[in-house]
Amino acid sequence: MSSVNTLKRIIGKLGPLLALVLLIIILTIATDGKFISASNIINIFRQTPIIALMGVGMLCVILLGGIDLSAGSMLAISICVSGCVLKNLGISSMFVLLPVCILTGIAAGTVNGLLLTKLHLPHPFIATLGTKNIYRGLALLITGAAAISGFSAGVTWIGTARVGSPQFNIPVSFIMTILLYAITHIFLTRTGLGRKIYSFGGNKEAARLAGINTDRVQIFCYAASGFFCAMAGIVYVGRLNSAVPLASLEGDLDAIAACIIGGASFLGGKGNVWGTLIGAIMIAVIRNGCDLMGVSSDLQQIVIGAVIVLAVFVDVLRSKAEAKAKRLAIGKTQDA
Amino acid sequence: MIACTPEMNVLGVHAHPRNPGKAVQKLGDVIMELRNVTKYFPGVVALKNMSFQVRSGEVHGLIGENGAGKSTLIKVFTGVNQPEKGEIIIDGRPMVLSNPNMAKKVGIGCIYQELNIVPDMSITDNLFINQYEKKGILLDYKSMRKKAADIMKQLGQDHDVDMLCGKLGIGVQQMVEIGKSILSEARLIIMDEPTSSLSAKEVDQLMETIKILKKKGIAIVFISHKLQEIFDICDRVTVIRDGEHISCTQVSEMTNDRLIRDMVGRALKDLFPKEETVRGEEAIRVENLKSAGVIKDVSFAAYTGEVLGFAGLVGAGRTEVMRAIFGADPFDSGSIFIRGEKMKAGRPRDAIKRKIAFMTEDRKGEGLVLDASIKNNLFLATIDKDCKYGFIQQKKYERLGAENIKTYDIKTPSLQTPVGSLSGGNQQKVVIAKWVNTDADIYIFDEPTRGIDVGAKIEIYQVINKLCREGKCVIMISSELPEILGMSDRVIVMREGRIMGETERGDRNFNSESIMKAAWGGKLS
Repeated sequence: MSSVNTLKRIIGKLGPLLALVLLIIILTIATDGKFISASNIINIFRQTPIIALMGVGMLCVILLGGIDLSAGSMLAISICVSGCVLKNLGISSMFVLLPVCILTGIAAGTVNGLLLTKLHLPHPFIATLGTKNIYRGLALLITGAAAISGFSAGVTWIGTARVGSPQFNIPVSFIMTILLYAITHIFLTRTGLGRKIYSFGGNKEAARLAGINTDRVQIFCYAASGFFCAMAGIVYVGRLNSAVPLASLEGDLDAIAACIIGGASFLGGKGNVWGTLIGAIMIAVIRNGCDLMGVSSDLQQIVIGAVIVLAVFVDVLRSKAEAKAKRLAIGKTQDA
Repeated sequence: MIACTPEMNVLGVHAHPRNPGKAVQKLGDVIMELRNVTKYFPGVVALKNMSFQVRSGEVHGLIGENGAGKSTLIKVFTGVNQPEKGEIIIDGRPMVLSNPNMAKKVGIGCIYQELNIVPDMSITDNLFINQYEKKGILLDYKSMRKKAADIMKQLGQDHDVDMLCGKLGIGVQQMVEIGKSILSEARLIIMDEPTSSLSAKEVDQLMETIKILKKKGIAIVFISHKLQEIFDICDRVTVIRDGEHISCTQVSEMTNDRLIRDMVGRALKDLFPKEETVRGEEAIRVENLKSAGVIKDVSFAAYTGEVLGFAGLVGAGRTEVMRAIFGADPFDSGSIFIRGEKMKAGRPRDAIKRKIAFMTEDRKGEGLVLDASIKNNLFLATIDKDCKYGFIQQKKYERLGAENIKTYDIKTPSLQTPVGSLSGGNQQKVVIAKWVNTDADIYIFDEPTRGIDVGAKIEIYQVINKLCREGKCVIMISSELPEILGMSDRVIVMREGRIMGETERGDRNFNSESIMKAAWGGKLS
């Protein structure tokens, strides 16, 4: 009985991972093994970081029970501001441009948090819908709606460099992503602030009455989202060697999808970084697999949409089963 | 303790449960009855062998303390809750009311305290909210308007039925609710504290309407906390206490004092393990606290080593005072002194810094993160204290958590268990432990034992005793008088945002009758 339960629990926890493995097996068969080739796996490693980085930032916000629709725009404004520093001030040092990019992202995220907590806008959907447009507009405005290119090798290094042999190498951006995930995981699970994020997402009022500075927690999370968007932006600049004001138009939706596929709850308080990473890889895998099979991009969208719905449906089933188990457990303690 | 003897219901044969509106009945027949109904909720027996009957054309008062089981009784009648034991008898036949629609079909309507009115819809739309009249596929507004006007007129209301309900006063909105019941041909209308949010004029209007309904042969169950209203409008009154039927009497034979005695009269027995304590220094003093609409000039002081009870009806402003002190809600004016030092109006975290702990009445909504583990809930209020360089000290958590579980006898498989899967009593113990972990000096407990079983209650009283022994100051809001009397050293009675009086253990007024009187607007004497 209990071993069955443990098994169920493990399957429940590893659900997204199992789905990913299943997907990989299917794609491998469908592409006659092309999918699992070394060069293609490297491709997937290359395609994952941008979604994954934006996803983990989004996770911080979703854990609060919030949402950040401005993620794609924050990516754009971060890279465009450093692009402008390059173009207008002629500074090309990575020690200036990278910090400028990151600080811009953090600032943009902080503004989201301030709008929410200090202006008491009713829902982050509204605040970030507003800034989504504002940041995008600003990015277009300061760049004159044109891409800025000519970044130095130092700046593009993160997005382009690889480690390993010519046959099999891993993109630096992917390694950086994993590192940032590990740090975020430790942050969320081991630090007081991380604990406060989960508590706030689980019950805002209980958190406030327990003396938690809820405003600060929220502002931090939105700023974190901005930070991760800027990091994704750095990878983006490396890839294209240019700062494009229309970059990542749908990045926020991909990021949200990664979190949801990874099992984060929209109500807040539930979710973890590894689920989000798997969600991000899953999106990359689907895109990649579809490309390999020559599936058109419109069909790709349909597949990704279906996966999101399916993932959430499985989650609903799971939480229903959990709720039932909870009721049974209460019954037991009362009988005791 | 004897229920009034019902006349034999011989007319049940004539009744047509499927066609309630047309049942053949004489005025004064028993139309609906609960017989020996028992209803359990997790950890509590809400109704115990409860019997209750309603005759057509009568206004039947239902009265009892907060938590006596009135709401559950309503819910059984309206098909929201199904009893575990006992029968619901309608027109002489046992029926199962498995959902609210069924109750509506047999002619039971209910006006809840919280009105179900859509403010942005007209009177007509609200009246016909779930039973439109159609002509072909379109709504037949002509007929609906006419009927709406007719119903409102019957209720003594003269309003344009196209008016948006949001623009009407609460009293008129309530009439619309009553109109809905009439429209669904209700023969029994339950009114749950219908006057609690009405002005004096609106109350008069409601009383007139009740008389009109009565003349139509509709039975009314009238629940109120205002005794005078019971005497004014009701024919019979049933007293319920601890989910049990206590008495059912003709109002003409009832006295004020007996009603109160019936409501509260229970032996304290050994339910309350109160210990003698020594009053120490002043811990907190509140002066002229005001907050528009809810707190009207409240001043009091509480001392270390004592339990200060706050008695009163639900909505008397006790919770609001405590929330203001704790910084959970803002207040307009007044001063709060902690250990003689004036505290600026602040936020909860400022209050916690000043060693105040506040256990809210709504443990699920405000006290716990239900999906989080017991461990994380135990240390919710002390995250900053428990961190070293920003990192949580897991080992400290494990150790203190295990101690907490032992100290408070929290029944759980492990520290990792989500707190939402515990029973109410154990959840409450987690909340208490959370606050004691903050090492506070002043503890405010708002309804600390609501909805939990007797065993857990006593354990919580033991914690209160222990805090007093350690020289802490305990303020306890409770709507259960026996608890107030059983555990407090001093009692403050509040009503409508004001302090009505204060009495001390050993005083002549330290009894339920006096406190109840004050809570209902009398003098504490």
